[in-house]
Parts: sequence; structure tokens; C-alpha cells
Amino acid sequence: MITPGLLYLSGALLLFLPITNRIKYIMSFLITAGALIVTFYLIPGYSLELDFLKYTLVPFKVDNISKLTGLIFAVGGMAAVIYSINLCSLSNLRLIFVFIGSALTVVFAGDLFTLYVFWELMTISSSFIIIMASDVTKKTGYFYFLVQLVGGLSLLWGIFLQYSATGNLSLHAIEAGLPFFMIAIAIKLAFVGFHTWLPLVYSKAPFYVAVVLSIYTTKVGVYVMFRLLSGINILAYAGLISALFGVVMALRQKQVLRLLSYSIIIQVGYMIMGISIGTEEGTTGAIFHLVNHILYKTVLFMAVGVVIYTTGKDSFENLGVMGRKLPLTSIATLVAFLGIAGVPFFNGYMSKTIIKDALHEPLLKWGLDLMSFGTSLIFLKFIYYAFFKKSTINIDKKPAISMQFGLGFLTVFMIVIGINPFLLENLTTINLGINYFDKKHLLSGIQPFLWSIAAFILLKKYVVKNYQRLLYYDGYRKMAKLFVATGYKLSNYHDGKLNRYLVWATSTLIVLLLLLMF
Amino acid sequence: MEAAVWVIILPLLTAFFLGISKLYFKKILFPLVTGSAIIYLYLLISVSTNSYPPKVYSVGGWGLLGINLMVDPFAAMFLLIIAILFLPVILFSLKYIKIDKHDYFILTYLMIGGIAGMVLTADLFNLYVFLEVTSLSSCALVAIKKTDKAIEGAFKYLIMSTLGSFFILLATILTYHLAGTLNMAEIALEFKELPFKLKSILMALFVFGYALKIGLIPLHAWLPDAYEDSPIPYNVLSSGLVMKAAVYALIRVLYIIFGIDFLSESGMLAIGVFWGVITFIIAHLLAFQQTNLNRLLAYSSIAQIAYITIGLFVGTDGGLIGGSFHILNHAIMKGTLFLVIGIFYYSLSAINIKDIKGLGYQFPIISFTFVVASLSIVGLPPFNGFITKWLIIEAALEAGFGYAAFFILVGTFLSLTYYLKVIVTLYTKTEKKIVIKDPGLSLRLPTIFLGSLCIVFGIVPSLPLSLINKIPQFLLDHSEYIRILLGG
Repeated sequence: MITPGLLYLSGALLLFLPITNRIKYIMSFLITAGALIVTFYLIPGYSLELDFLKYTLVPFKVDNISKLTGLIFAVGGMAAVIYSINLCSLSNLRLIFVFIGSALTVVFAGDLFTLYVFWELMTISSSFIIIMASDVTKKTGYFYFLVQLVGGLSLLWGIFLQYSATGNLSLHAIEAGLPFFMIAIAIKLAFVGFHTWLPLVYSKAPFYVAVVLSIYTTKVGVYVMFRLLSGINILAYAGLISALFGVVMALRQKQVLRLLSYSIIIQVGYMIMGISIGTEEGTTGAIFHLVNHILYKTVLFMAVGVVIYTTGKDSFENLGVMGRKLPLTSIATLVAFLGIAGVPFFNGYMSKTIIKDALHEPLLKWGLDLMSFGTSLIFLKFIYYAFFKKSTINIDKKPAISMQFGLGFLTVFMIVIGINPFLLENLTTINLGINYFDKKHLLSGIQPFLWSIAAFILLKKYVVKNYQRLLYYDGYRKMAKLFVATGYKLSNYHDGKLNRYLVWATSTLIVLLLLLMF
Repeated sequence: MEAAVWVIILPLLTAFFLGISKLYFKKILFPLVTGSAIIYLYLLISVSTNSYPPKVYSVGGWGLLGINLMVDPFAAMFLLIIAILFLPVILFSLKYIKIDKHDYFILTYLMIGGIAGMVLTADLFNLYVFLEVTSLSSCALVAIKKTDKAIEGAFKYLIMSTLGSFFILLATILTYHLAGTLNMAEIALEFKELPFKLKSILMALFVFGYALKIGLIPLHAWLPDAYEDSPIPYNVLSSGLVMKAAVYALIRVLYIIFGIDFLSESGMLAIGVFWGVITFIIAHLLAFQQTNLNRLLAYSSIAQIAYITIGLFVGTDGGLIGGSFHILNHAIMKGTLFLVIGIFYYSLSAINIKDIKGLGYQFPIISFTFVVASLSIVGLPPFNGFITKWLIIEAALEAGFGYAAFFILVGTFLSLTYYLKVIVTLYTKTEKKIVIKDPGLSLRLPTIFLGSLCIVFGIVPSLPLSLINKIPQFLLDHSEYIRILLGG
């Protein structure tokens, strides 16, 4: 049986052949569409075993949740590849294929070894996408790689602890080494304190890179959290804190891409809360939210990408071209906005409702409303600049057809899920028994949105304002400096004088003799 | 005569004939060198595939008194490394080396002969002789460029290496005095009755002597200086074979003569693991400071050999498998990296990190090979370095060296900091550089061959592991080795 991840990975290999542009298009389309179809026809319960070293690995295992996540990854992959095929170089297209392929393999991984290998392969490929993308992203890529490697290594250490405690590598709730798994996932999720890579990368890297990365990087973290750490109730508060931090930071940004990056942190907060509750309702809600979030956040990133492509910059002022010059992009943006704001009959509404239903503590419920309120406030600012504020900026060139196509493709999915929220339940054969369209749910869903409109009108001058960058203490930089300084001191001892080397040798001999004698 | 004997004799003979050809027929260098290398490849493979159960060759039919050679899986694995590395490096050197070509090849063949001897011998004095052959020809190779830096490096190397040899010889003489024999099996039997303290001192002398050759910190100082201006194909052999041969000899001496029980009782295993951890942490920190690529790779070699040391000193089946496998993998990875640097040096005389800026776009395939090898040496999946790191960490955890396992991961992070620095420089766009000499296929092919092995052994580790899995059987339990050696 051919796996969707393998399809993408072999696609990356095929792109090494000397091919023309035309074949590149056809091949990319065939692979992305093929992966989508293969994922759609996967049968839950199927699993594959493989002997590697002395372990029996399960590199491929399908269940309802992994199938749903795989499907949305395949949909996102198709849209992202179509969107960026004209923009990125061939070498980056290969890396994008490797990246998507490894993300899809992580989703269907049935053991910790496979999970780690492809988790790390995602890190490698995405770092090289960033490094190769342009000349200004070299340092960003360097930083990103190091941060992600710390995450990967703590995952590996956690896996070792888990393995030595339980003696097997199967993928189920963690028993040993919990803190290390948490660090690994916190870095992938851009949890507050570990989040610095996310706004940096998504705003510095070319927009098509941000589109591809934003679909998978944090979402894989969410998925793995669902597999390994679900049901740790205390983390729900952590998710809330992270999300509220995201709200505050997002409101202060001058760059649209940075705003979108912080909004990812908020949305991931919803998923953390859902997973931490640990009930079927909570986790299902989180995964459904993952699906919805991929749809609308990718559309928003793509729309901003179109703006950057046509005007050259991603400041808020440039969003003004949307309402006047880019009709299709505007419609997509509106649908995505209503989705992310959780307005009924749009896709974000259903998953937010499920998560809210799953929460029982009043503080969390209240926090969730605050998050929804903050999210729609942030995006009202976005919409304000896009459609209401007068702007004189003109577009330099028309958006490419492939970009519009990728954008439209996802918008259709959004509308369908919004109108028929039972679609995802039917697809996964999970029945939550929630009636999305009764009065209680509709009312509690629309409230934060309405409040935010009121707040926006009242507090417009505070929201639509250019804030200075918050000064903050960068601990990572301090640590790096310490590391470099230590190395420098050590290298100063190597002055090339032989007598010094001989002294070292003699003292080593003495120490060795002493250690062995006593 | 037996094939195993020829493994030692053939390189020595080739060196001899090369010397004659230098005097009389300069033209036959190429056929002589390649012909001998190809025959040697065949010999190595046929001997190493024939290693289970281990075979003993008594040279000249003198029995236990004379020279005995032993081919067990550990030796076979090392011969396999020579087989993988030797022919590519020889082909590379044929084009790369321009001056003193004959001298270079004479010394290289002498060195390989010495290494093969160290690997096969089952006799303590022969081990010392072959070690000296290896070290001296290696020193001469460092100096072959005759630049100031090269001669300075060679001088330091010579002094430190001789110091090491001195202690090894001292220990060998003491052993002979105490045991009355030089055959490893007989020594091991005699040593069972020796007082504990006496054995400890002997072991300290052996360990110190070999550690100087291996380059464990703080005995490593000669190594970067020696690598800085030596011919780059030699660096491949040095980090891949010469340093490893010292590790190999140390492990042979410790595990066969002293035995695992004594090692763990005297605390040598714990000392070895701790020493390894200190070594790679400092080496990684120092490597980050380097601007010269040769020196950077030298420090990285020190760190990688520390991983090997940890694996071998953990003292369990898993540790020996992981450590031995890392000997093989490190030879391949570091070989690839050095050859890539060699190509850059050959075609642009670029040796500092800033000189290779933008070459990623000028030499796409070669640079890709560099990226693969460096990710592999950092220890990232799906390359071969990851597999061995996994094995070593797992073994260290199992044996109770949790701190070592943890620090190996820290080391992985530290090693990425400097390799990524090089990679990023490689892919930073600048104006096109002028290529002085075209590297051609004869430089590219060996590099790409070694680079592709990084991927192959990462995805199909069972290929070498089928041989390596048999190593602990004859090393961890030395009675098996002794029985075979005495019986033969």
C-alpha cells in the first residue's frame, strides 16, 4: 500500500530529474492530487510493520483522527504547492515536497522512532527552505534550525527515557520523561517563552514559505500533543495564558505577517485547551479546530501573500488594495475572517463550539470567550485596513493564476464546512451529539464577535495605532553569547606552544595514575 | 601464503616498488598505484568476509612463539573501513597531489601497511612496531608540503606521538617482564594472577600512550596543528584510519589482555566514559571558534572519536556495537567532508570559511554532498550518523551512564552550531568566483561515492550491522578469543 507521505517524498526525488517547467507542473499536480486521493481512501485500522535495527516499527497506522489530519494536510499541501509553484525555485520545491511528505508521515506514524525521524526531517527540510529562500533569511534559518533542534533533541531524550522505562516504542500516553516531551511540543507549538522563532520566521521568510510552514509546523506539534500528552488538565491554563499573550502581542504589530503569526499562537491555544481536557469531545474539538485553522489561516497567509506579491510590502496600509483591486482575494479574506472570528455558519464556529462545550471550569470558559473576543478584535483591524480605510496604493502586477487557484480551492472547503458542520463528524464517524444551530450555541458563539465590533468602534484609536516594539529580554541571545565566550576563552589556551601541551600531557598522566591507583 | 598476510605485505611491497620506480621508471606510478589499490581492495574484502568464526594465521609456522595474525569480526570491520576509504582516497590523491607525488604514495602505502598490521596482529610487540610505522609515516605526510605551518605541525605531532609511543613501549616492556610472553592470549592468562595495583599502573601507561595518539582532550593539542596545512586526502586517512587504529589497538589491549571484569572493577570504564564526555563538549566549543576548515574538521574529529570512546568504554554488547559502527560511519562522513574541502582547495584554494562563500551555487552536487555528510555527522536522521548515535545513547543509558547519554544530545546541538555556519556560508550568494583548476570527475566521483554511503548506511544499517553484531562475542568475553588464538 502506498502512503501519502511516501508519495510526496518520492516526488521530491523525481524532481531531481532534469525536467522542463511543464512536466514540473504536471508532476506536482499529480503527486499532490494523488496524495489527497490516497489519503481519502485509507481504511482506519490499517497498519504496517517494519523491522529496523532490533525494533519492530509501525511506520504507518491509520485511525479516524490521523486520517482526518492527514486529509487536511493533503488538502493544504495541494493548495500550498499550487500557490507557490511559480514563485519558488526548483530546489525549494523539492524541499517543500520533503517537508510535506515528512509531516504526512508523522501523522500516520505508529511508533516513537518513526515519529522522531520524520519530525527531525521536517526540521531539516523547513530550515533549508528558509535558508535557501532568499539572502536575508540566512540568519533566520540558522536560528530556526537551532531552536527546532533543541525541540527535536528533547523529544529524542524523552523517547529514550520512555523506552528505558517501558521497554517499547509504541505510541501512547507518556509515562516517563514528561518534561522533555513538553519542551519539544512547546517549541513546535510556539508556546509563550518558546515562541520567538515563529513571528521571526514567518515575517522574514518569503510569503510563500510562510504559507507552507504555517500549515504544518505548529499543527504537527498539536497532533503529536494529542497523541502523547492528552488529558493533562493543568495545561489548559497554559494554553489560555499563551493565547492571551498572543492577543496582546498581535495587537501591537505593524507588519501583517507578524499579526498572523501571533494569531497562530492564539489559535493553537484553543487546541491546547481542547487536548488538555482529554475527553473525547475536547480532543475531537481540538482536531476539528486544527482542520478549520489550517483552512482559514492558510487562506489569510495566501491573501497577504497576494498583497505582497502585487504591491511589494506587507505593511497594513498595503492591505488597502484588497477591497478595490483584488476581488477574489477579498472574498476569500472575508470568509476566512468570519471563520476565524467564530461567526456562526462559518467554519471556525463549529470547532470553537465543541471546545467550549467540553470545558467545564468557569475560568476557562470565560477565558475562551476572551480569546475569541481578542481574535476578532485583531482581525477587525485587519479588515478595517483592507476594506474601510482609504488607501492610494496601486498594484504593480496582477496576481498569478496559480496563486488565485490555491486560494480559491481552500475557500470552497471553508464554505462547505461552515454550512455543513456535521461533515467532519461524518467523515470521522464520531458522533458528538452537539446541535450547532440551536439558540444557545448560536448566541454564545456570536457574542464575542459582537462585543469586539463594539469595542473596535469605541477604542478605534487605541487599536489602530502604531505601537513601538516592546523591549524584551532575550535569554536565548545571552545563552549564545555565553557559549561563544566560553569557546573563545578555551581557544585562547591553544597558543601553539609545545611546552604547554607537554604540561597538559604530564598532568593528565598524573591524574590518570592517581585515579586508577586510589 | 595466506591472504591475511598479504593484507600487510602488499602495501609494504608497493611502497618498496614505488621507491624503485621513483629512481628509475617514473612513468609507472599510475598503473602501480591503482593496480595495487584494486588488488588490495579485493584482498581486504575476501579476508574480511571470511572472519566468522575467527581465523588465526601463524606466520612461518612458528606457532605461539612467532608472529600470529588474527582475523576476528572487529578486525574484519576495520579492514572493511580500509577497503571503503582506500581506493577513493588513492584515486583522489592521484589528481590532487602535484608535488612529491612518489614520496606521498610511498608514505601512504607504508601507513596503510602499518595500520593493517596493527589491526591483524595478536602480539603486543608487533602492535608496537606497526604503530610506529604508522605514526612515523603519518608524521612525514603532515610535513610533505614543506611549508612553515606544515613543518611546525609535523614537529608537534612527532613530539607528542613519540611521547605516546614511549609510554606504550614502556608498558609493553613491563608486560613482557611480568608475563614472560608477548602473545596476547598468553599474557591474558598470565595476568589473571597479577596483583591488582600492578595491573592498574600498567593499564594507566597503555591508556595514556594511546590517548595521546587518539587525541582525547587535553592530549589533543597536536592534532589541529597537524591538520592545518597537510595534504587533504591524507587528512581523510588520518582521521578515518590512523586515529581509529589507535582506538582499535587500545580497545584490543584493554579488552583482551585486561578483560572486562578488571576494567569495570578498576573504574577504567567510568573514567573512559567521563573522559569522552569532557572531550567532545570542549572539542565542539573549540570547533565553533575556528575559521580554518581543516582545523574545524580536526576538532570535529576529536569530538566524534570521543563518541566512539564512550561507546566502546560503556562495556556492554550494545556499546561495542554502537562504538564500532561509529568508527565506520565517522570514517565515511569525515572522509566525505574532507574530500569536499579538498575539492574547494584544489579548484579555488579556499580553505577558510569565508572563502567558500557562495560555492553552493557553483558546485551544486559537491555542496549537496557536504550538506548530507555534515547533517550526518551532527547526527540527524535519516543519515548514518543518527543510527550510531542512537545505538551509543541507548547503550549508555542501559549501562547506567545516563549523564553521558544526555550530553551526547547536547553535543549534537553544539555540533550543529558550527556545521550549519559553514553550510549557510556555502549557500550565501556572492559574485561568481574564478575557478583556477577544474576538479573533474576523478575528484568528484570518490567524494560522491563516500557521500552516498552516508545515506545508504543510514537507511539500510543492517548491511554493516550483520558483521558488527558479531564483534562483542570475541571482545567482551575474551576467553573465546584466547581459546581460538591458543588453539591455532
